[in-house]
Amino acid sequence: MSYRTISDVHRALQQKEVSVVELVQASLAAIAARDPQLGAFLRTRPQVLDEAVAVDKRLVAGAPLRPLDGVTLAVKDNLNLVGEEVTAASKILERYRAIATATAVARLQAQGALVVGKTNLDEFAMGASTENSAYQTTKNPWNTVVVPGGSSGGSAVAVASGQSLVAVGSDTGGSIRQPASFTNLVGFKPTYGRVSRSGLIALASSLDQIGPFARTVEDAAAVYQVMAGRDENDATSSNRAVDDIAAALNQPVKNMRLGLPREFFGPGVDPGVTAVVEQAADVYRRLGATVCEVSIPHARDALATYYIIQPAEASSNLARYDGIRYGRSVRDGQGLSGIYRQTRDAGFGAEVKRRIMIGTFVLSAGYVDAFYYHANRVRAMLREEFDRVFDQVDVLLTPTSPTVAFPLGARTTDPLTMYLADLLTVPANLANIPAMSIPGGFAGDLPVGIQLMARTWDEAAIFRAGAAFQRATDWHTKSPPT
Amino acid sequence: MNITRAQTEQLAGLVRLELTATEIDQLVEQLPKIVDYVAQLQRVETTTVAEALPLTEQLRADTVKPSAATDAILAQAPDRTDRLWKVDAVFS
Repeated sequence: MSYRTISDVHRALQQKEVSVVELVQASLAAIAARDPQLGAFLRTRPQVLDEAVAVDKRLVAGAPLRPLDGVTLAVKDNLNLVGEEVTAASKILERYRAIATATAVARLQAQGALVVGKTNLDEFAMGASTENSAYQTTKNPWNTVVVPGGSSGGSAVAVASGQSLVAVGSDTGGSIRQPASFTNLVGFKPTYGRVSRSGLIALASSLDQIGPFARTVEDAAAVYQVMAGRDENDATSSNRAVDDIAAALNQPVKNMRLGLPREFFGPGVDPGVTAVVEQAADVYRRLGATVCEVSIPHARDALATYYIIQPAEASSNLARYDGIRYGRSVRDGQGLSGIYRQTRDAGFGAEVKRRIMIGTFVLSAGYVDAFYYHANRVRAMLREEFDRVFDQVDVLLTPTSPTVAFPLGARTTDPLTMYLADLLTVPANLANIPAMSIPGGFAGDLPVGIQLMARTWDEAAIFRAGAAFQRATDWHTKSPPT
Repeated sequence: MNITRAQTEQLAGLVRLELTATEIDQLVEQLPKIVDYVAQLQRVETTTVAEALPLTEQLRADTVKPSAATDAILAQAPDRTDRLWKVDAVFS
């Protein structure tokens, strides 16, 4: 795909160098050429060409360019599009068709974005490698024997391999940021409550957020800006006014205060990854930011906290898949209880079963206080620690993932090894703060993302710091070998 | 933490899963390791009494509005009579 950014596309459209139909055709051709090998998409949308024709008509008639006109968009298959199949990469939703489009996606479409297809994910967004999909494996275009990350692996690969210009995914414990880190992209998780979750197939209701994948911070900002804001259909979406991010993108970071929290470094974090983050800190110093060490004492307890709260919420959310209301139903004349049990056993994969059982365990009588309520108290403590740190600094700089992309199959035998991939990303979900991964460099031949975090509601600080880094470096311009 | 086979089977019942013997064997092996990992959290002293979270919900006015697309929903019923979704007897 010859256009790398939204502004490239808009310039070309304005100069009549290309039509929207041609842009979509190029995207579909890239999918046909690359995706048989990479497996990013579960399905494409043939109707997208008609939608492109309609946009070209508008533009020819003199309509001004909307923020996302000409933008090809890949959407994680846990986000609903009205009347279309949606699977959450699970067999239990076979044949289910969404009854309404997710608000966040509808907003993107209303500003011109054209959905070319639905992308692969770990089943019900449970995973860090996209290997838990019930349908297919997705490969990393940087090296096809390593994982793309997860759970939004398909969305990341769609953008990284030039199949779509941008993508959206969901992030509950790192599922946007970690695949972005593994594929050399920008991946952004807004503050909980910034983007409506209406029409997102729920994993953990106090943790899930929708966010963009793009090659540049600027493009991620454009997508986020359109999606963000109060939605009546999501009572947890905030009334708070959304900052104009475009203004933040050009602000210098001179005198911005950056913190390196010591608990995000050290044991368990690869030296190659640490080196990239240390070099990034130097870049910020050269740009005039002050960089200091800070501490979030319970950051290392965040993973255990997360793997109590998330499975608990997931077990509750997945109780609705009962063979009655959604998709697949195993009806053998075995009675109601039989329908529940057999549908769920046939429809859910191994990781899903594990998590809902863990979730039920930590909520059960005799254990609920020591596990679930206790984890929520730790979560409150962690949030206070982040609040205090943001009195000292404006932005935190950490690695996104303890490692670079690991080989396919390397972590599928022992579930705990996969959970450890989330070590550095879960704190932001628990603390309800915005976080972004941006290309920071390489370790060996594989990309390393650096993670920026800011206080609750301060997306602007992250975009400011991220854009400044991309003006001073060119990691984000690297593409995988074809 | 020891999670017995009986406990595992009881959990499977609670989450409405018809597990095979192999699946139960695997879970009997895997669940205790995961629970042991998250159980480490118990050594953390929490000084806060209040649990998270200040997630304030902003409610809309209690006015009647059209609901979701009934036809689209009914079209997906595996078994239906008129505008009723058929299921097995709850009480039998």
